[in-house]
Amino acid sequence: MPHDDSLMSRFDQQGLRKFRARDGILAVLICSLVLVLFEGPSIRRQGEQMNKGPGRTLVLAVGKPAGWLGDKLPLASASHDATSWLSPDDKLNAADSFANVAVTNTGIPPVTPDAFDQADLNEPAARKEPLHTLLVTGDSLSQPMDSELARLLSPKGVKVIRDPHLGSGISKSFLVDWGQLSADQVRKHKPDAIVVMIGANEGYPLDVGKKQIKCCGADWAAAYANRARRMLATYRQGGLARIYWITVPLTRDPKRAAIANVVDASIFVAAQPWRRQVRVIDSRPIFTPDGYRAAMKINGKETIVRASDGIHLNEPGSKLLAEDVLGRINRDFTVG
Amino acid sequence: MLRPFLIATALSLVVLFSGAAAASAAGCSSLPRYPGSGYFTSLKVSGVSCSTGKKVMLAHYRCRTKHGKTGRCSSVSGYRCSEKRRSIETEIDATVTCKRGSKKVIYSYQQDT
Repeated sequence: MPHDDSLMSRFDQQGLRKFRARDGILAVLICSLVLVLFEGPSIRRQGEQMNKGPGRTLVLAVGKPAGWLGDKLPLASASHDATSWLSPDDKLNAADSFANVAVTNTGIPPVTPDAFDQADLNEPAARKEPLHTLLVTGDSLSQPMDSELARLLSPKGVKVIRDPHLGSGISKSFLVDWGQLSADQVRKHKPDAIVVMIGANEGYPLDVGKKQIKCCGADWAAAYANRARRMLATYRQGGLARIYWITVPLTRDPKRAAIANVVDASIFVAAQPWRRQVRVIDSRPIFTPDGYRAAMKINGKETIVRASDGIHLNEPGSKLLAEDVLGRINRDFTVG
Repeated sequence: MLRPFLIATALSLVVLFSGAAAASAAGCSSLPRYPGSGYFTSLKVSGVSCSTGKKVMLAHYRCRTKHGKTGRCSSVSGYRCSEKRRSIETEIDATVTCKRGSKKVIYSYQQDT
């Protein structure tokens, strides 16, 4: 292998060698100094983001003093400002700030604490109040569950008012207007709790302003939910009462089932602002977890729970539902 | 002179109010069980008793459902009947008015289809 001088002599012979190795080392040192002065905080940040290990220790050993120096001198921020045009930040509008969330016109009222069920929060449970008056209402679906609840609660001193309106529906105000009826019920009885089960006779077109909306798209569901929400607003009596709204179990007839699906979805949406006071009791996991069924096991025994029409619950079914509802009531009230 | 005038006025008022009462239909509180899948939702009678009204109502039900769940019936038990329906795919809601001279039975029902 030839000597180094002999290799470098090629350049010397041509007069091409301009710099020495020392000059190269000096250039690297100058670049390192410039880097430390202008990007010291970046080295420190990079080290802080690395996983623990010798590499991180080494980078931080340089990055920390370099960062300190960068913090003290204006060079790092000057460099950042000078090159900011290469990756500009998105311009943010002050009007979109969270500070303005309450006044921003989103078209939707702000969320209030009433939207949260205490059971979902790490709050201590509210003190249970005694249940004096229970109103059980709705269409024919509320029967004979209303009798079962009366049978369970009346002996314990609870006044149970049964007010079914057979053949009625939230979407058929020509028979009875549930907006008016719910207000009348509250005025007359002032119930502490209300159990509602309605939805067997729905599917009529809904009048919204001058428009008539046919069942069962999103527009109809929204209009139906608005009516149900109006009822809930009345029943909750400013937050003093508790409401137990039971969904419609799947029906045998697919056409009715399609309507019931929309009705149930609407109820969940309607109840959202007042989950502190409104308990939506979903009857489907109880009676129709995997589609319609006329019978199910109760206490280990196969029992028919639906009426022959494939819509209503029969007595054993209603009894089972009443027991479930009572369990929910017991979480909110003292009974007896 | 004044006395006959007062008596005539009082008698006129009695006749007037009784006529108005007869013309306006009275509601019946208890309704019979619907024989099919559905409900009778109201019954009003004028010039007949509630008991007669219920008989007409049931007779009209039997007459119209002879032709199926969506059947109609224009006369029953000497009454001429007209019907105003609101229907969707799953049910019919209707108000039926049956007349026989000055006698009137008005009832409404909800029939699952």
